[in-house]
Amino acid sequence: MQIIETGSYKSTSLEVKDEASEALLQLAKEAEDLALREREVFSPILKKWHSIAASIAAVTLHQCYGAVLKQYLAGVSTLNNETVSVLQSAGKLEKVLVQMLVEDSAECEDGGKTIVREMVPYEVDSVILRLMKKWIGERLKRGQECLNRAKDSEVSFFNLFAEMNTAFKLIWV
Amino acid sequence: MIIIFVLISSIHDLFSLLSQMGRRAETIILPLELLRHLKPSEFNDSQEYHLWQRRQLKILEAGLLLHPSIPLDKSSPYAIRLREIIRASETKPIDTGKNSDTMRTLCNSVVSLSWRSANGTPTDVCHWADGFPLNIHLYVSLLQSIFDFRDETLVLDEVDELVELMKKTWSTLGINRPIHNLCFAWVLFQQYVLTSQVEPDLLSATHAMLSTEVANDAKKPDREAMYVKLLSSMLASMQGWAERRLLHYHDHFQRGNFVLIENLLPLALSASKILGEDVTIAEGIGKEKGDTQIVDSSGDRVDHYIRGSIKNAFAKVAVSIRLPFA
Repeated sequence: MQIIETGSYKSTSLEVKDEASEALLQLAKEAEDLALREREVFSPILKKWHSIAASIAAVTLHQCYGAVLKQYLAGVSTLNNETVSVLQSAGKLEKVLVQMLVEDSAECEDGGKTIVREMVPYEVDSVILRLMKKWIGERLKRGQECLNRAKDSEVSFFNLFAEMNTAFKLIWV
Repeated sequence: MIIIFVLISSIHDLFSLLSQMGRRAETIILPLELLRHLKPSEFNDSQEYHLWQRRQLKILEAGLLLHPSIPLDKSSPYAIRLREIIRASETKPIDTGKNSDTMRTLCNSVVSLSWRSANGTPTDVCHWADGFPLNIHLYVSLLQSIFDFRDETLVLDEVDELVELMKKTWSTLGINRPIHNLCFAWVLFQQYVLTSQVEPDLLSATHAMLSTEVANDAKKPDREAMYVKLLSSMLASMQGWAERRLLHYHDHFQRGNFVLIENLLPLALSASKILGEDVTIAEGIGKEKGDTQIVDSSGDRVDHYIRGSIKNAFAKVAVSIRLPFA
């Protein structure tokens, strides 16, 4: 009974996580579309009133997606394929937004130094590395456990063998 | 619109008639003159006459009792009598004949109430339609006749002549140049909204009016309290309307019509500039810091619109893909 319950719990939590990963992948794509639309349609006109209109849009989008990504990562305990895809798509979005900012703010007074400070990097690579280290650590720990268990069973097998030996001896004597 | 046009020209006729009789426009209490001169026989039936008479009395009630420009003493016998006559007219028309006692009392009360002055000194202008906000409602309705009734997005070619004609009402309605400029900008803006926002020229014209005349008037030191009140409410209304669009520009504009923002943005910026620079100074520093978000330069406002629009568009996408956390 307990096994069934635990099993079903595991499957829902897995589903939820997949759903979240799926949503984040889509969100990154939509954010990229928004950025492109901003750059093509809105920024060129808004530039007349604000010299770094596209940069402001890029920074804001970066912050919006960053907040969601942070929440998502808070719920991620181990590395799996979905998490890696989410992080990779976040990295791709970040590249697009950085590019948009660089192109837009190159000519402004401070070369975009002030605005770029608002873009706190997602540090996708270091997140992947951290999760990977954790994953390797967990695997090693599990390996160790397996080994210990194997040792234990070896011992009990040895005991059993000894007991059986004794039993045989009793029969034959 | 044609009704207003006819109304102006007939008022004009009446004014010229009465001025031939040696009376200046600002001494004429129009509803009273109309009540005295138009006879029930000039209407199709008695019901039509009754409705028309009610309307004239309602205007007198609004101008003299409800929104007088000079505060009214509630116990004034003239006010009490006028109120009684207006109440009596609800059930049947009052007798406006020459020998009618009611008419004599009405004339007495109306004339006494409208020839009052703030400090008791004699006045040469009568006050029956210059109380706020009645005067502004009347003047704004009058200004709306500058639009072509066949295509209401168009301003008539005769606009200058019309405005000249309307100036004749300034003394009666208590309007001056700054109030006129403000109401004019308001009417242009209102017409843009009323005609389904199809004519961006109306928005540009509003902006032109705001950024030149109104911006200058608002800077003047000796502004009346009524003007400041009107300025802040009309500008806040325009600014609010514009900003609802500017803070959601992904929803309100597409590739095809985004150029419209070139008309809307300057309007929002001029309104904000006047509101920020002048009105808050006049109202004093009563508000605590942090109570209102103070965004002073145009650049900061545009920054605010871009960030706002992006956040709103992003939140909308997050909802549409049913993001498990937002």
